[in-house]
Amino acid sequence: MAKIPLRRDLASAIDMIRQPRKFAGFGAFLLHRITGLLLVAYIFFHVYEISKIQWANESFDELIATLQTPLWLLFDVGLVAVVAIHSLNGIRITLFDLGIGIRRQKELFWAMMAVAILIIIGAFLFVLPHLGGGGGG
Amino acid sequence: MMRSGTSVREAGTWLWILQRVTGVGMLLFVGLHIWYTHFALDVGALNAEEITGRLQRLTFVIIDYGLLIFVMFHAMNGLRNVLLDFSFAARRRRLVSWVLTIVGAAWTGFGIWGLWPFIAGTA
Repeated sequence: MAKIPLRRDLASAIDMIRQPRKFAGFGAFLLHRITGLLLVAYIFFHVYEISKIQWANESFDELIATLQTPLWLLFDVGLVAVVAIHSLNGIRITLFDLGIGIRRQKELFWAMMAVAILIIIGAFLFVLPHLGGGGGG
Repeated sequence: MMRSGTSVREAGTWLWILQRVTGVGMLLFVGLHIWYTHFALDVGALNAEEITGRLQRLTFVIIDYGLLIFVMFHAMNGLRNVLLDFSFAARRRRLVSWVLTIVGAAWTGFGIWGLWPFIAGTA
């Protein structure tokens, strides 16, 4: 894959979504990229956010208060979703590199995504009581 | 779905192995990080003082610094794999690698400095 013709990729991506049975291969690859790029953006934000403890204690406190508002708690659920999808698919890729499970890659993809969905539901249920406002844990 | 071969061939096997090692390492580190920031200790008021007090433990500091280095490497190398899938001339590829290395190192340094209040209180 030396060169990616974007338009063709987009067309096949749409094709994958239309035909779930074909999704496992290229869809997993796309999902891994998209979640990976989101996590790169997040880690830059997270390091900056936490570093405020060093240079701006008051604005750090304000930031922490903001991060407990319902909107940000839902953002956290999204973060858990992205981390779960990227890490479970990452385990799948690593298993393939070790020569495990390649022949059953589709089943493995859907199994991993099923686990991811359970984790996402769990995260949502964990956050749910705090969505009414007030402090979160 | 196999990974793209491009980055593996050109950057050597080491980056590929390190990407796997940091990935597996992060399964543990991220799990611990989430566990001790949300569940392990009584979560009191969330402010700078409380959080500093809570996270000033040698094990947490070690995990946080380890995590920072693992994540920044994994993020920059992963971004490189994505970018190099678009075709670049060899010189441009080297430029991409250098820019990502410098940005990654700078942000890791920023993170080390940012986490310093936690380490300062441990000794």
